[in-house]
Amino acid sequence: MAEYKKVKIERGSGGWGGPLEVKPTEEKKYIVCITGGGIHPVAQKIADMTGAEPFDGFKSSPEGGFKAMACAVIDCGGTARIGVYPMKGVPTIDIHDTSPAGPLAQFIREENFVSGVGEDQITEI
Amino acid sequence: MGVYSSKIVKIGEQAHLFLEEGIVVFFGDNAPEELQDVAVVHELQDVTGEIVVGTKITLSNEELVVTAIGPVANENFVNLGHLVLKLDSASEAALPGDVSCSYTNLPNVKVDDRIEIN
Repeated sequence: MAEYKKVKIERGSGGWGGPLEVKPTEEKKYIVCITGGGIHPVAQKIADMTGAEPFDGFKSSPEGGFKAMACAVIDCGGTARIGVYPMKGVPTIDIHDTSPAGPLAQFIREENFVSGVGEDQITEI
Repeated sequence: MGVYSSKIVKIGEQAHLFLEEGIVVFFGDNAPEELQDVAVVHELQDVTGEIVVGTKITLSNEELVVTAIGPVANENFVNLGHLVLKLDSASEAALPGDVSCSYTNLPNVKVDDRIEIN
């Protein structure tokens, strides 16, 4: 069995929400990146530090769907993805400085969303 | 030569939540299902230019004019086929991914309609 480590992810200087603690498990073992252009360095760093598997969620869906996602990394400009993954129960990390907006804002809370995240905002705990 | 030309192939089940607020969320037909659910889905084509203030967009035969554009909007469009049109005539984009537009009549978006960005 793989051993997973826990990381803390804090908001960046212009960001909102969090901090989130992400600890992958056998059931939730994917760091899903929905940014286009492959695995974003933020998703890669979370995967490297936790021991979980980075997954390009724009190309396909991981086996197990949302239940298999330890977290989602997005580069959302503020309207759509910001709400979709929290609505599906997936802790969500936005690399851009966004805060809850749009019709799905009701699903976005400090407990399931953090934004403005760069590699420096990810620390081991 | 325009920036983009494509056909609407699907209206996601929850796209109306956004449309009712004057927001048209586009994703390409390669996007994951959860994103297509909230989107007006277009047949993905190459993007051949940049959207700027003043760019004319014809959506479902209605003409829109871009009044403001957020700093990540073009990047999202090229990388993900993802575009967020806000029909609010704003002179400053409220969110980084926004493309604010002015309009005469609200477009009534349906499958098989076209989006042309010039």
